[in-house]
Order: sequence, then C-alpha cells, then structure tokens
Amino acid sequence: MDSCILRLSLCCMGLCLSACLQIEPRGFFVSYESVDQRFEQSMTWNDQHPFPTLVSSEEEYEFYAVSDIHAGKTNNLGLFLEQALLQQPIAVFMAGDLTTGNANDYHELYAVLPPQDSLPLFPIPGNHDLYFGGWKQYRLLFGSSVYSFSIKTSQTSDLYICLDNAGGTLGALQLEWLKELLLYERPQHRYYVLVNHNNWVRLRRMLATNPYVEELEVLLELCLKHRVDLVISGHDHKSHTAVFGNTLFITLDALRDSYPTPSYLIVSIGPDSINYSYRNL
Amino acid sequence: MQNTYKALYLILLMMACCYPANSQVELDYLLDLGQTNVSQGLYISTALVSAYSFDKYALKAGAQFQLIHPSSRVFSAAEFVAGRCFCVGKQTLEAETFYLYRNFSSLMFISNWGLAVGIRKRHWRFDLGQDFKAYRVREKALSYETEGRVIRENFNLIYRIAYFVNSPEKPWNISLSLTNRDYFLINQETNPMLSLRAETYVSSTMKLYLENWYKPAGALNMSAHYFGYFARTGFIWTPAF
Repeated sequence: MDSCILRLSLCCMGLCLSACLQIEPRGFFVSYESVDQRFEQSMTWNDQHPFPTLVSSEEEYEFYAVSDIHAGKTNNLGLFLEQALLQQPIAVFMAGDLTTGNANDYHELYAVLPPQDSLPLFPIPGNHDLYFGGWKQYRLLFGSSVYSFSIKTSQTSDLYICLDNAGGTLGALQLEWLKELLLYERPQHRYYVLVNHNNWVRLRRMLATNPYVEELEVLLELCLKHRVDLVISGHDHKSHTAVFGNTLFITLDALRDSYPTPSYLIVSIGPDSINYSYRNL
Repeated sequence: MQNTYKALYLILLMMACCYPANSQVELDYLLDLGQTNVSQGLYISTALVSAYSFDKYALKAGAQFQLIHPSSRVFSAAEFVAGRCFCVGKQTLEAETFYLYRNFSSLMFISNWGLAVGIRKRHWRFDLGQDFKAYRVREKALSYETEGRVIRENFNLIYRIAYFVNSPEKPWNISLSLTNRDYFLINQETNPMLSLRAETYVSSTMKLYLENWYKPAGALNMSAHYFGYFARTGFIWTPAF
C-alpha cells in the first residue's frame, strides 16, 4: 500500500513537472537569483538612471495598464500599442509576465515596443519573466524591477511604486524600502498607486501562487495605515476588483494572444476620485 | 483581547471540571524561533494548546504569543477545534471543524473557519479540508475612512501529506510533511510548507519533539523564492489521572 502511494505520488509529480515546456521544473524548488539580489541590482540601476517626474498639463489624466502578455506572440500587444499610441495616456504599466523568459521572446517583445519618448512604458517582471534565467534579459532591456516615480499636475503630485513580487514575495529588503517610502513620501502626495505582478488577495481559486498570509498581513496593514489608493496586479489572467480598507485592488485580464477576452485597464485620475474601466481588444 | 483570555480560561476550566474517567487531557507547549521576509530578523513565539478527548470526541483550544516580533502584538492567534473520530471499515477517520483567529494588527484581523478530515496509515498521514478566510478591518480603523471592511478568500484547500519512518506504536518517529496548515496559520493552498519532525517519548506521559519548517514563496509559480524558516521545539504532556 505504502509503496503504491509512493509510486503514484512520484508519477503525478513527474507528469505535472513535464506537462508544459514553457515552465522550468527547477523553479518549483529554486530560482536563479533571490528577490533581494534583484532589488539590489535595481536600486543600483535606479541610482544611475533616476526616473523622471512626469508632468500632466491638466488636473485630470489617464494611464493604462496591461499584464500577462507572454510574448513571443505579440498580436494583442501590437493592437494595444496602436490604441495607446493614438490615445497617448501619460503612462503605460506592464504588470509582469511580459514574456516566457526565453531570450528570443524578450527580443520579440522589445522589437514591438515603441520608443520611450513616444509612449512612457513602465514594466515590471512576473514569474514567467524569470524562467530560463530571464532576469538577465529583463535587466539588460529594462534595467530595474523596483522603482518609484511621481506624476505632477499644476496643483498636486501622485506617487507610483512599481514592485517586484514575481517570486511570490517582496523579500526583506524591498519590503523595508517600501515601508520607508510609504512613511516618508506619503504626506507629499495626493494618491498612492502600487503596481506589481502577483495579485495579493485570492478572490477566486487559481493554481498560481499569491503572497504568504504573513506577508499579506503586513502589506494590507501598510495600505490601510498609509492610505494607499490603488494596487494593480496581474498574474490571475482574469480581471476582478475588491475594496479593502481604503484601497482598491484591481487585477487585470491577460493580454496574451491565446486568452479569449484580452483587455487593458484605463485609469482616470481626477482631483476628487480615481475611476477605472476595462477596454476589450 | 481580554475577552479572548477569558474565553480560553473558561474552556480550560470547563475541561478540568468535566473530567470523567474515560477521557484524556493533553497539553502541547511549543516554542518557535525563526526568520521570515517580514520578521525583520529573528522572531520568537510560543504557544499552548490543550486538548480534551472523550470517547470519540475531542475539543482543542490554543493560543499563540509573540515574544519577539515586529508586529508588537503579544497575543497573536487563537484556535478552537472540535473533532470526532469515525470508523470506516478498518480505518479511523478524524474529522474536525475549527475556528482560527489571527490578531496580527491593531487595525485588522483574520478569521478562519473550516473543516478537515485526516487519516493515519502505518507510514503515512493524509489530511484534507476546506478553509474560509476573512480579512477584517476593526472598528478602531474607522478613522481611516475605510470603504471595504471585509475581504474573503473562500474554499481554500487544506492539505497535509506526511511520511513517517516508524509506525505509530514505536516510541520515536521522524516524519516529513508537505502542508499548507500549521498551528495558528493556514496558507493559501498554493503556498506549501515543508516540515521535518522528530519526536520521542521521554516517559509514558511526555513526548518531546523538534521540527524544522521551510517556507518557500512562489513554488507553484515555478519561481520558488525563500520566504522563511523556523525551528520549533515542544512537548506534549498527557497527564495520567
């Protein structure tokens, strides 16, 4: 009986791990680099390439967000970029899983992206971007996975924080950085917006991983204490929203070509409120 | 918090008063030392769990206290369990329903309730259950002009698969478990934890144990990162009255 269970368990594990060629079984046990290493490399890059403050000429402005592109194939991304170039939002967030992690896919993606001066793009990595040693490619093309910048209007300023939780955790260093940023920068800004890949709250059953309960406790308390207005995530491939405390949590649809209902998020930031809608491709 | 202490005290008192001859009391004391990505260095917590079983029924109540932890909450969690054993053929199935309260912040808390069943084979143990989790904002947080007071994560799968080197009759054992449930914590089903446990009877009424827990984040994202590790030591005392 015991040996049967053991064999069955090993067979199931083998089947699961070899089920998909787009994932790396080694990732179940260990990653190529730690989140702390990515954070430190990002901070070094940020010091050398500080993010400029974006300026909106009007009090109300829009930004877009997409997630889970999973390039190589980039048809949906191409359609989205056409619309974005036409509408000219002040910023476009790419909330992770931009590629499958393969170097070729990174190059496919980069070939489609417009120059930064025609459309300000703010990418962050997702778990797929780290497969096959993908962080090296990501770093080469985008430099940093953790950064913050502000968008200024004539009256006020809003802070945007892009986080790297592609490995299911922010890690100790990034969490401390976030805490300090919330503590010292919050009073100078009107709205606070966080963008990351892994959705925090698990509003529907999914196979992919969310942050540990212990980490979620810390993050939710931080959001409440510092009045974080909006948290944008991807990862789940299906859009949903929730409000907890005074924070709106938005999870994005996937933009990957094989996804049946791809959409992107449009967020309108106004003097008194934040409004959002999804636009189908 | 005082109400929780009172409730725990009452439960223990009731157990002591209603102690018939064919029942059993068990006290489980444990001490955790560990480090996680959110603990800002070493954390130390301790817990006491008392169990009272009568015939096929069992009641369990426990509380956890943080001795060193950045959250500065001494009383950090409590759990109440009611269970019953069922005989299915030659197997004994242990069913339980539980309520778990995590007192992680002065502004919010987690309440969990759920059901689980467990079966012990000679060298294996399997547990399966469902958990319903709610993150709740406390009344105290009203000054933050909260809009959403509760957020729920329903139908979370609870599992545990454990392999034991020895059968249960032996005085010592070593086991390896994969689970998303620990004392006072139920993770999402996609966050498994790995535990290695060694236990031995030092007398007919006292069992000592030592556990090592590894918590990887993002394992099911195929991008496993370190989240935390802790060592636990404790004893289970079954007084013979």
